Amino acid sequence: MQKRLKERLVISGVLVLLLVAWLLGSRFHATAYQVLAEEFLHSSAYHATRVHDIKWKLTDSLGNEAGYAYMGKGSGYSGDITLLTLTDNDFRIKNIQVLDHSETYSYYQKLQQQNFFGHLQGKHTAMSRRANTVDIVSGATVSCMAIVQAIEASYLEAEGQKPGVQMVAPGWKEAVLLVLFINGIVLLKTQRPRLKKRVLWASQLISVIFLGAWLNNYLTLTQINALLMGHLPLSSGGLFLGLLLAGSILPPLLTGKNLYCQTVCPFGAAQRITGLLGNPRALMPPWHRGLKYLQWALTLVALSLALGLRSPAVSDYTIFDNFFRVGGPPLLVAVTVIMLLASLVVNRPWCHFLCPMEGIFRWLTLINKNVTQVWKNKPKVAGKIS
Amino acid sequence: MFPYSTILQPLFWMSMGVLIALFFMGIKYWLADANIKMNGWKWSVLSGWFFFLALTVAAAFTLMGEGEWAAGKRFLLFFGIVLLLAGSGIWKLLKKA
Repeated sequence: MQKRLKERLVISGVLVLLLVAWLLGSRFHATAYQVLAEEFLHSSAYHATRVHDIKWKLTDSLGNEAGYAYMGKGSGYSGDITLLTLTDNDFRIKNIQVLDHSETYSYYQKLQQQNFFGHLQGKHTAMSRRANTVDIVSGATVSCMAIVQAIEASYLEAEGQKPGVQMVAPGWKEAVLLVLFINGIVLLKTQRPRLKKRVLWASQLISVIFLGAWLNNYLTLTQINALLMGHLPLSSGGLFLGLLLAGSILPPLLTGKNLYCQTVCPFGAAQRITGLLGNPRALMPPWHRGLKYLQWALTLVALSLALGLRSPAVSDYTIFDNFFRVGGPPLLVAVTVIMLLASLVVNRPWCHFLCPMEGIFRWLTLINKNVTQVWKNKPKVAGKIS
Repeated sequence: MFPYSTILQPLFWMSMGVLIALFFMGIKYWLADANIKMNGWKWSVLSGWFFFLALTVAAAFTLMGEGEWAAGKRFLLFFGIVLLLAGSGIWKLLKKA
């Protein structure tokens, strides 16, 4: 009884903390994009006359018509990308100014390094309708698509045309993910040790090869933060991301079972596979419990920070990217290397003591235990009329 | 200068050769001390691992010496870790088989 009360108090505290962070974030990060857009236009070489909320007419210093400016939003990897597109009189792109974005810094840096914005210059704003090809930057596909979507949607909306309906069709990526989740269910249900072993190792290999090395697509704190801020991944055409989030979050929330960490997570699989080369054991020192509390608290701090600062990627300390992309900030690379070497002697050290996703699942399981289950087992009021 | 000195350079490489010979002789006794019985394929695997270790160190430091610091560091980090993990696996294999 005492324990149950304590757990409920903790959950209430966590939810209040997240709510306060969310409210603070929305209070201090209310960006007036139109003001930003007009500030940029004033600093440019053109004179801008506002046509309506998202469209400006541009004239040069001699008063000649020089084109238009459109402001639009696209749904990126971890939030909206708001940008201003400057076009010539034929609606061909002259310049793109990103007003606001929440993309992970390394992804955004890739776009700049590979001159993605430069390659868009000269293309018609309604790119897909004019069959203009766009060179997508490998490893930052969602961000590239969001930018193209923002440019196109702003033009179509401003000119009173309807944007095309984006088809969300499942492919082999979604099929692989589904297989991994099904394997997780099999692992939970089966009592046959041999089948368990086979399913586990098959999943680990599939996960490392497909999700990790090939697709570089896995659950990160950025996605959870973005979801808490109301950014639905499906709006950016990410059926895979939607499935990944639903398959990871709903089972612990509704049933208290965690499928993701067992069969889907590629970094967990990488640690397990590395463990085959050594002799990993479960680390259970007397201060083991303290380490777990620290892990869960760190997750909470990261979530609150992201909500408070309205930036999903700001507090992400997952190291999967550093491992599968072989690079990143030196500190995270060092942690990745240490974790990998430690997994020769300790059973999945990152998962057990540092991974924020484990913290997320812990909070979800607690909510399941104290809210979902209680709500499910609520005594039903008899509707019988005597 | 030391690296190009007529007398010191051959002396340096001769002492390196002696050290490597001693290293391999020492390994034989060290493995015997750890109760690992060696045979042909085990020596081949161990030699292969050692060869790649030497190659990695040489390649990484050559890159650094040529002014390609970032490439050298990346090379050493990536292949160094792969070799460490492989070394751990080989050690397990030698003990088991």
